[in-house]
Amino acid sequence: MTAEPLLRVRGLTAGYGEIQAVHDVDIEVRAGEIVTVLGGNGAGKTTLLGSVAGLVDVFAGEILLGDRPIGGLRPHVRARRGLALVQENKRVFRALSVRDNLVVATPRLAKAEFAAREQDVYELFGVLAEKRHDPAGSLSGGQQQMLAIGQALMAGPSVLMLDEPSAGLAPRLVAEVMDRVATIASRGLAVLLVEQAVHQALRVASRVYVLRLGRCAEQEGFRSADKQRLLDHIYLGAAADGGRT
Amino acid sequence: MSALRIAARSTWRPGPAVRSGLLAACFVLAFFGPELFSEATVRTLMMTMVMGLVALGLNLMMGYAGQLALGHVFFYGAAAYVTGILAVEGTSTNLFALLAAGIAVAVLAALITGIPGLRLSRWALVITSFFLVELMPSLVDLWPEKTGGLAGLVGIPRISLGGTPLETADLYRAAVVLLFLWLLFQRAFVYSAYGRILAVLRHDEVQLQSVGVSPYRLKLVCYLLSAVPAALAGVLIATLDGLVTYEAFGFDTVILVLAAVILGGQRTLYGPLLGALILVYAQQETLSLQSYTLLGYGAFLVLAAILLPRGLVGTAIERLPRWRTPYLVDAGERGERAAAALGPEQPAALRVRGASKRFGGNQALGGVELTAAPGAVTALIGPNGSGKTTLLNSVSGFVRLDEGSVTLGDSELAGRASATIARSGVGRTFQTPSVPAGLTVREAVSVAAFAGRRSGLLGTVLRLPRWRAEERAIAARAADVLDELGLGEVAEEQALDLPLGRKRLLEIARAVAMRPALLLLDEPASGLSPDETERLGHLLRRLAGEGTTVLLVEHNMDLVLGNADTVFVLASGRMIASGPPEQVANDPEVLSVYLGAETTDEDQVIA
Amino acid sequence: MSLLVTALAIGSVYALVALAYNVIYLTTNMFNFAQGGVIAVASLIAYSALSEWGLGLLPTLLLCAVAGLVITGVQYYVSVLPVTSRAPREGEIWLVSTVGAFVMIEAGAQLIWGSEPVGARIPTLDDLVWLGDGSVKVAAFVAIGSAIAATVGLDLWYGLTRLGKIFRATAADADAAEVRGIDTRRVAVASFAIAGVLAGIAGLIVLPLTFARADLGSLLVIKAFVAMAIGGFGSIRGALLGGWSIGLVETYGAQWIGAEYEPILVFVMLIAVLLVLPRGVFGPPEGRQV
Repeated sequence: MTAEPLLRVRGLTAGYGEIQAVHDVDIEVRAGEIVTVLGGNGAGKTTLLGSVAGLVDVFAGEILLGDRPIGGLRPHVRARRGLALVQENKRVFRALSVRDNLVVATPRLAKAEFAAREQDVYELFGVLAEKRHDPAGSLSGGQQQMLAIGQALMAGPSVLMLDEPSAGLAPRLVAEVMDRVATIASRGLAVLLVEQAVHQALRVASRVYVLRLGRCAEQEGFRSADKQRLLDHIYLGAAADGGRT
Repeated sequence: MSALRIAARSTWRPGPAVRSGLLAACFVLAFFGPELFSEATVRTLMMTMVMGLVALGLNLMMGYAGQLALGHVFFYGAAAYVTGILAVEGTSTNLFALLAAGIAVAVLAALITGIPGLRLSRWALVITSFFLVELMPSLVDLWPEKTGGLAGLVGIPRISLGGTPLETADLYRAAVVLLFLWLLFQRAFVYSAYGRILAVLRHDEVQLQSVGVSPYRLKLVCYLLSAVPAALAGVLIATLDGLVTYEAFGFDTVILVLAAVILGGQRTLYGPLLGALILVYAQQETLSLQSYTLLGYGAFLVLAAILLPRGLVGTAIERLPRWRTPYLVDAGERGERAAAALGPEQPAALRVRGASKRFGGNQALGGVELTAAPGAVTALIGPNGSGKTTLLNSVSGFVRLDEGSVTLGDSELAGRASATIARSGVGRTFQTPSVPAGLTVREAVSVAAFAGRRSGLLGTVLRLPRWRAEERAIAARAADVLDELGLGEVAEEQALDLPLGRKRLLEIARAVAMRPALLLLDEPASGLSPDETERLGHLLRRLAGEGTTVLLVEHNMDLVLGNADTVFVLASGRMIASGPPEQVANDPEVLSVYLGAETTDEDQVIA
Repeated sequence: MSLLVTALAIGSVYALVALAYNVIYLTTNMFNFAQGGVIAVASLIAYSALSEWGLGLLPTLLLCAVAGLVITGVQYYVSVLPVTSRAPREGEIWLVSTVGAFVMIEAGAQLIWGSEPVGARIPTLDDLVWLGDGSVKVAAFVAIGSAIAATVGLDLWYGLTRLGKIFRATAADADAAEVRGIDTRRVAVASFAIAGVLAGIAGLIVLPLTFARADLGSLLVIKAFVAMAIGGFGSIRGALLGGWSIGLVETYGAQWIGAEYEPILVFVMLIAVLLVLPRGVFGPPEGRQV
């Protein structure tokens, strides 16, 4: 782990309106790493990614992309600087074709460069190439998830954040998507993955954080740890305090 | 947590008696206006009541039903013309006869614009109703001998009551009585099952249908009701000055009424009246400067929208949450309630035969057969895009099958509207939970009972004993279901503030509270923690034990394998296997298409 | 023949206004009520430019386009942005603020130009063309041509260009577009700007066909809305179809049944279309997502 962190979050407190959903969170993601954030329901995972991407109000703390702070910037500026977010619920543009979904997600590029990136996405997700002229709304849930990841890659990001890419996918597809995420990370991207599909997420993770009631802690030695204990830690703790959210 | 809630309960909040007392005091003060105030003030108040009635109508539609309509000024004008014509021609000057005629005409106009305007697009009503206002001069000009044409209808005699024409003071008192009667009606209407269901209407029409209510009919009912106060205003204004001209019912008046609602506060009972008072007063002070007045109104609308979007009364209630009127009676303490039955009154089996559906080039369902027995949990699994949700949607009427039949017990469901299907005993949840704003968790669950009410509109607004009993039963059932799902402790919190997983539980609670014969659950465990999932499993077993037919679409294998009696496996729109869970889980074809041949136990999705 | 051209010309004006509304509706899902007021002001400016300031046709066209752009731009920053950028969004409160802006623009125009209709003698556009059974102004052909050109141009632009697709993506899901690096606020500003230019040009085209007057806006708003309802909200082609059908019903209705029935006939057509095709002719297909 000698690479410089591409994404650094320090002392982040964020939420909606007056409600704080994450408190004082520190996270670092380095190039080539998959950092997985696990957490039960309502633990603040989506809020965490949303505040890094600029969709959620940040009350305190610092967000650095490379060594530049991006805290006050609007979401599209952060995206253009290399921060990509794949949101929950596969939010692709259903009325546009698969290819046009990639087009609108790409900054103005030379034709050759665009073609190269497009080809890259099609190689990663072969099924998208077959359906490139179909409207995105006609794709299955898994294909839409792949398209959403493909869109994120078209911007040529240095950091890729994924919000529960496994949600609503059949188990076999989850494994496939996770494998692709590992491939993407191996090219030198920093990946921040938020998941509830614990086993699959742990399979590809370089490091693991656990988010509980909006507070975050790194989980050392998760590979050797008894997984049942880890699950209890994540979920039962959260459930026991759940009423106070 | 509980200590906090007890503390909150002991703090004083204005009860119904205090509220009604305040209203009664206002009524007395207003009624004796001619004795208490100057003639000019009484005239201002009279105009306030007239404009306020129109604004109340607009607020019922725009604020409570969430549908912008601009036609209330036309209803007001139409009632005024009818009153004027009937009085001038000597047909009648009797107050009640004229009220009846005015209301009839206004409701007719609402029907003509509402039926086409409320069908699909929410903009259509804006257009048809706005067009009505623009149409007023043309309509008036069609029968100049009756309406007085563009010059106006003059010499309208005063309304009479019992044969004697009303003096100005008496006309004013009639206005006070009519206004307060309408306020009482609207208060009783809004703070009842109607107010709760309107919160769902504003939020999500699909959800409304899933609890058995047709959005179109509900909107139309509101629109017709909202024409009534505008008609009352029209009857009053026609005889006040003995003169009716089309110019009084133009775009300027639309703006005035809209501004009154915004200034006072949409979705507040008295806000539009306060707004009307302020604007009528301001208008009388600046009568001579027409263009400047209009400029001022425009600037005011822009500023109010930016700075005070909830209006004066709305903002005040936000600051004083204790003055928020609850939409549902207390449930009573848990111990005092007998545990309610959750199962259906009449169990029924679901049979799907030869169900086929095509979307463009995609065969979503190709001749699917499925049977789900009462008293059992039937699971439907399959890879993504295999047609599971399409099947649920075609059972609940959100998708029309190209071919095939769906029966519940003895009745055919295919081809019926989704609201009708829901009423005949089908409850369902959706993949993405959504809850209406402005309701507590318990209120949000109680909307399940709307379609099954028996007390009706009249029983509701008159607060008949049957209505009371029904409300208490609804409140108790909602509280019971919430306890069962572990949401009891958040029952009085705003539903919108719940985290995602609990919103999903809330949706399940709402569907269960309908006591459906068939319960359809679309990935209910996605986003739930393991202990919440376990709780859900218990609930499903209990429902099945009480005779409910449960059909569960789910990816979480723990939930499916642990609770289902029968599992169906759908792949690419075809049923490839069915049987007891252990048999299906070891079926080689199922393993290869769904779980993945190399998959081990450990790789299964946990949540 | 001349009656048909007149009918289509009037319909084309409605279509142009409906297009201006559609451009904004497509990216922001809003009806910018104030648009009608902008057209009225643009036509009054055209009147002043041609008859008082002695400007030529082309400079006037340019002036109208710029005026439409500027007024709509200011109106966006004053009455739309403050309402839509605030979180959480309070329902459709923008309806109120854009109606407010409309009222302000109309009242402002009344203060400057008075409320009487005014007409100007316009070079070229007012020249007559003989069609065998009657004559029509050149302006009628200009109106028809502009409406067709605007429809075809916008349709191609949305369907084929990268920017057009970005506009459609923003319309579908603004948050998702923002995360994908699209400056959605700029897209909104740009669509208001396009609509403003369209409204400005429409203002000049209206002048020779009717009169310029401060309250022209409310008349055009309602016709444009009806055109959109008939053609389908957000449909570019639908705006032209809707505008033309209103023009035809109005003109032939006035001819055959009587001028006093003209608005009532349009109303009846609106009701009939909504009953038969509630989504309009080119409206979005039945939603699949539940």
